[in-house]
Amino acid sequence: MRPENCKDYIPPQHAIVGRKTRCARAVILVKLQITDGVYADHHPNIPPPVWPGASSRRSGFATAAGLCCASSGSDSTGSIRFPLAANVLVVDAEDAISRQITSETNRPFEKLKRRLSIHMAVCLRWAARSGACLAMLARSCRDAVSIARKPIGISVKKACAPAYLSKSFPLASLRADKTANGTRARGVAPAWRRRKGTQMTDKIVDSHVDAVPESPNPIGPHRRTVVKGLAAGVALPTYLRGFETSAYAQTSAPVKMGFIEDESGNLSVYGIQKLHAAQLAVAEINDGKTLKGSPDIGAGFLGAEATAAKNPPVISKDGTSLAVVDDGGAKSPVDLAYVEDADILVDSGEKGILGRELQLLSSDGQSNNAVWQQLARKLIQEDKVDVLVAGFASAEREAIRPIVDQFKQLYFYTNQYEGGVADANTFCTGPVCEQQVIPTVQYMVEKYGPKCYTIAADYNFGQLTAAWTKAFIPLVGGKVIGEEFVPLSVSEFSQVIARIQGAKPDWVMTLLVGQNQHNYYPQAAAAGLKYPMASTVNMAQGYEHKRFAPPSLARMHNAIQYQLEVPTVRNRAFVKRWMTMFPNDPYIGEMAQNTYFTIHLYAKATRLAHTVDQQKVKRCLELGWNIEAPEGSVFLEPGTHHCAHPIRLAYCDEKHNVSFLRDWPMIQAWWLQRLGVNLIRNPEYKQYTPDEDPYFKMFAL
Amino acid sequence: MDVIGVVASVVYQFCTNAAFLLLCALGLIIILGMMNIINLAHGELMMMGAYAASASYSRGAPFWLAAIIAFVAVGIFGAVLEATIVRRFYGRELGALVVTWGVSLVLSQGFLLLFGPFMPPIQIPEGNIALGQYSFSYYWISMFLIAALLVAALWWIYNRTDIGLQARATMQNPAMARALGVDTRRIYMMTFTLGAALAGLSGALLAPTTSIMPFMGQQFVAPAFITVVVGGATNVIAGAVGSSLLLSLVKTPVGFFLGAFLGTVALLLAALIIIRLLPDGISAAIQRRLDLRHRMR
Repeated sequence: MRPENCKDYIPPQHAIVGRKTRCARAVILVKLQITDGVYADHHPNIPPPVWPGASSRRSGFATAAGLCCASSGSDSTGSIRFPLAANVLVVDAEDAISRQITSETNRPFEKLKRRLSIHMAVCLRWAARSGACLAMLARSCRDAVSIARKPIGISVKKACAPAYLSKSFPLASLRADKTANGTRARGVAPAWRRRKGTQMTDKIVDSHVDAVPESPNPIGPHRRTVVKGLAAGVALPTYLRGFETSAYAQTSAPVKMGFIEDESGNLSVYGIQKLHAAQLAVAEINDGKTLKGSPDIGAGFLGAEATAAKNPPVISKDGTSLAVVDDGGAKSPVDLAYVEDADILVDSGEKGILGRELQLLSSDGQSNNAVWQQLARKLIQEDKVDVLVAGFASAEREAIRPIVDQFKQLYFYTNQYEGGVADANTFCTGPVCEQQVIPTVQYMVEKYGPKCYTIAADYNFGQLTAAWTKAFIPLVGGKVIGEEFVPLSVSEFSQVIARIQGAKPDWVMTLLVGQNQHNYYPQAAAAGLKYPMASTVNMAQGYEHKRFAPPSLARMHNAIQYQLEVPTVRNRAFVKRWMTMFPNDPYIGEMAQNTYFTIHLYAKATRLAHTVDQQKVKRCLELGWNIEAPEGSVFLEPGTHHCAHPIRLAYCDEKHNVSFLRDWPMIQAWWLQRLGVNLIRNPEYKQYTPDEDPYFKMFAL
Repeated sequence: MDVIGVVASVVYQFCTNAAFLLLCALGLIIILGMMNIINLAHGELMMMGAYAASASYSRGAPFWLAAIIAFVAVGIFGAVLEATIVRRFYGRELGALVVTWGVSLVLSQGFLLLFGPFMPPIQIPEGNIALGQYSFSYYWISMFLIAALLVAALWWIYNRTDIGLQARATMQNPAMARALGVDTRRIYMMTFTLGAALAGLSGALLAPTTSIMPFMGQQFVAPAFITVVVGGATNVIAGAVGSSLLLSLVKTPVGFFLGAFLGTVALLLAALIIIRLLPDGISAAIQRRLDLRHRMR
């Protein structure tokens, strides 16, 4: 069918939405031609309108501007959620959504062989007319008719400030093109962008929240609650069921957060930082603060870019004041995304969560897996915690995950790890191998040479990360010439050092965990080992560069999403807040920062879900969240329960000063997506290992 | 292939492994070997030595002084422990085992409560000799020499002094020794104190290689017991030296060619085989050989 014939094209059947609308006794008056297709790219031959927004953002804007009293929309990566996130209205419509509509909408995407969560939504001008409009999406014609007549309870509440409306949304870091046409964004046809008449600017828009009534009572069709100018969104993703319609939970009992970390033992150097992070986050939440962030579009469109810094600033190793030793001189025009907004901590509008205090029930796992299991059982069964945040080592996480699954406990694992956990109850907010190993390995092979020698801790994390290194290093032209797995209790490394000296690599990949194994660094330095080193854990977690005298950690590289020395304004503010609460702390490691923003994320999701019921908070988390953490913008992916992170390559020099050589504004945790994991459609409770991925088998691992 | 370098590296590793085993076993040689007390608190005594050394090192004492302070401090603690608890369990081996295990729990958790999860580390002394692509750190070379020196000193005390003679007599036949006027109670006290002090000294000497935490003793307990048991009680000092050399001889080549983990596995297998073939330890077998030859002459 040629484009010029589109105007007169009459399709052979109605879209299901249209059919349902007619069932609900609507009268079809007119059919419009739209100009954009999948991923909001405009049709080359059809002149686009002078109207902002593509895809279902049209629906939102049209309703808000008063062009209609209701409109429906769908999205895969946020087209309808974008406008709806500006205002939150929650409706209980159990099983009302037709599956036919979702599969119909999904059909063009099937060709792309991707699994996307399709969202259907209706934008309403007045809350009172929701019944009829919901009928558009109803399961059957009969339902459509009955819903049109049945009153539906609605509770309206205040919205949180969405990040995308603020001036400093991460789009700004994508080298915003401030020409006469405004900000350049993907998906807008070049022809349109060049037209003089179409101005797209990112103006700040005030959220029309002020007129929102706070009453939690159900609004029947008799009382016309007119909220002027309010585009009330009824967001009903197909997997979303049963939000609370009734009044607030009238209890004032505290919301209980179970927390287990190693405050003593081999792994205590990490556990104490995480405990302090949790305490800081809980204090901020109870004080009425939250991090910026909201349910948001996917981060996929940001992709993975890398720019090499001309001269990155060098941060001193002494103390925690982030003193700059060398500011790098002249800045290159292709700058790294170091300039960000300072204020990511904003008011949440209430003290605690849903008016209840957030209580941290923390216990010491003593770096002993058996103790972890006991504590997990106690917190879940006896204390009945509303959420569990626990786990440093992968062995600890796997020890308690069966218990978590048995009781369907909402569980956050906030550590970087080897990847692969596909568990409907677990949300992993730390970076994984594809976000850390590949950038590091690429840089090391480029800079130092192809031969790598790996020494790793001998348990699941070390083994799997070493497998990733071995599998991906050939892609960048490297080779692992030797691997050594060291048990966690070993602290004496002279034989390992001798073997490394015998193998003569170009660089060494060190995946050492625990205070015992960290003694490799001073021993290697004392033995005169001068190879450049790379890691995904050391330096950023156990702050070896501060605990051991120089030059033990010299020439250490680590691609991490966060360590204390990140030179951004928002991080300095965060470090200052931390040091005010814990003045004697020597460091803030990456997993401590993860714990911090994860707890804030939980608070935000709970507020949006309007309940602490764990299944409902899980569903709310599965909307996909963008949260502004001290490291940068983090995106929690709905289907995989993992986070996309900004990644930076940290480098420690002979004097143990830290600088960042390269950064990637956002790298997705793509491996589970590639494996086809979609925990929303198909809940799973396992950890994938490289064995199950045919790609790794090519390397006989 | 740099043959001289490889040979030097293997010899160096052999010495390092042997030194590590010997230092771990030093305190236990006396207590288990001579007094036959199964001291499960051995690791914690070493931990206390490391703590004492770290505390004095971070206050400015040089490393050798910190080690001596550790020696004295843990020795005093050993004397107190002996007087209050261990004394009641001479002759009751299983009771001693349980009570020393209890002491180890109290010590490790107690230090965790009192001093927190970790102490400031002691920096490993700098310096190394390079030979081709291999380099050998002064620290480990000096550890080997110190271990050898300590063993020699121990041997000299027990075989060439009066006190040593009395100690040997007490170990051999306490009743007879008492009848001959040896103050066995004092000998026991001194022996235990010396054993504890040596454990503390080893802990201080090995402290630069490891993180100083309340549970650090666990990594030393197994090598210590294996070394002493494989050595045997017949001639404790010679046995310990012999067993550490023998086990290190097994561990070093396996570790060099197949990795440190397999080296440890080889060590444990060797210990298993030796105990199976020579249940009384290698010193018993050597002693039997020597006696046989003596009688034949």
